[in-house]
Amino acid sequence: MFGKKSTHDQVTEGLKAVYPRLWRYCLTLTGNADRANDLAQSTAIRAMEKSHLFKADTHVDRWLFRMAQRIWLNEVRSDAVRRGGGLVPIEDVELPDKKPGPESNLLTREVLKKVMDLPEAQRATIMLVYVEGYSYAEAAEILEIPIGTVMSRLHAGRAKLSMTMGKLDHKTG
Amino acid sequence: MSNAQKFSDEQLVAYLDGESDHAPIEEINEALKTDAALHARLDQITFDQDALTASLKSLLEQAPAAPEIPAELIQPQRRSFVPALAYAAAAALLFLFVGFGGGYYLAPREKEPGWRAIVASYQSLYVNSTLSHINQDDAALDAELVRVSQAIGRKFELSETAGVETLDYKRAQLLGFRGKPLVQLAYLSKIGEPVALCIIKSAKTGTTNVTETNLWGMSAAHWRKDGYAYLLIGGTDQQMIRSAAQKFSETL
Repeated sequence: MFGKKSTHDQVTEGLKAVYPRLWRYCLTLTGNADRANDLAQSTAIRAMEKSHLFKADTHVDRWLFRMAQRIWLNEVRSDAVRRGGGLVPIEDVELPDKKPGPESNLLTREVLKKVMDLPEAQRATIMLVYVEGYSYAEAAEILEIPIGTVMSRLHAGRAKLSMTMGKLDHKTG
Repeated sequence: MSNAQKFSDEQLVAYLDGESDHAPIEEINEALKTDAALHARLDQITFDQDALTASLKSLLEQAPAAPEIPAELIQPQRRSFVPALAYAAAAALLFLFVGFGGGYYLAPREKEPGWRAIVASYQSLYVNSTLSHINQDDAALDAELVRVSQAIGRKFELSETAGVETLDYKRAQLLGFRGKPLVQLAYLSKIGEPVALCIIKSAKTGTTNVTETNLWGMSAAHWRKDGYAYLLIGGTDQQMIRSAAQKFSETL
């Protein structure tokens, strides 16, 4: 009406754009493709229900990641543990063979395995900072933890990945 | 003396990540010129970040598309350009001057989730063991159906409610949705997933075809027939839900 998108439209559009990234994050949280589908879908539904609470013209991607994180911690995770199946090892995740060749899928699976071997808190933080590219402050906002905790989780996660993955990427400030 | 312990682990991580607000970059650069122990500490937390991002990038192509969200789950948002309180005040003034009608229609109203959304949310709490222990004989199942039939005003026969091979019929319950009776028939699928067929009286007459959907991550199908609305929901086997919904829509 005033040439400005409603928060509902912003969330709807943001959701479509962010969904693949959100699903990938859900996959690394849950370690299971089916559960990642459920978590990403629950996040989408919750986001639409709460779209009136989204602060217009802020970052819808961070808002969605934070929502997925909350649903995982408060609802899906406990259900996964309660159902007794626990968290399925990433080797069992069916990665559909789409465009990338089998070698690429194999590499993805190997790297995923190394990421999944990290404790959950370190894994989520590593994903947000090094895969999703969020700053420390942004990751802290999504995970709802202090920046210092983000940094100590990254240190622990880095130390483990340093042992399991190569060391090529030695950046300096 | 080594500078290695002069910097915290967190500062070294921030240094590697270029987060200059959280690391004394220049000091560390200076120390690195002479301090082998500091090099070693950095080396211990260095990994192939490019390999991580590049290989996980392919997952984006394997992600499913964003789901279509059922309209009944979407609440219209408050209009952000006029605070809700201003709306309420305007509505109250209009009430005083133009009477109840104008105030009522101009006040912002939030649509509440529909019955299917509420049922889906309730069904998501069901697990196999909610139902697996239930083994009633036909007399008990019949008695339940008589009770719920009376409440909702239409007759259910056991041969109909238990007539789908892929679903093991467990029980009938009477629930309520905004003062209206809602019947829940509970089943376990062949692989043990809880499924529910819910029926509520509809203000709309006429018959609609079975429409498939997905609510709260569960397969679902809904239709309307002879003044009642039906929702079959549970598990993730869309094909099973489709064929069971088709059968129920014909026999019930």
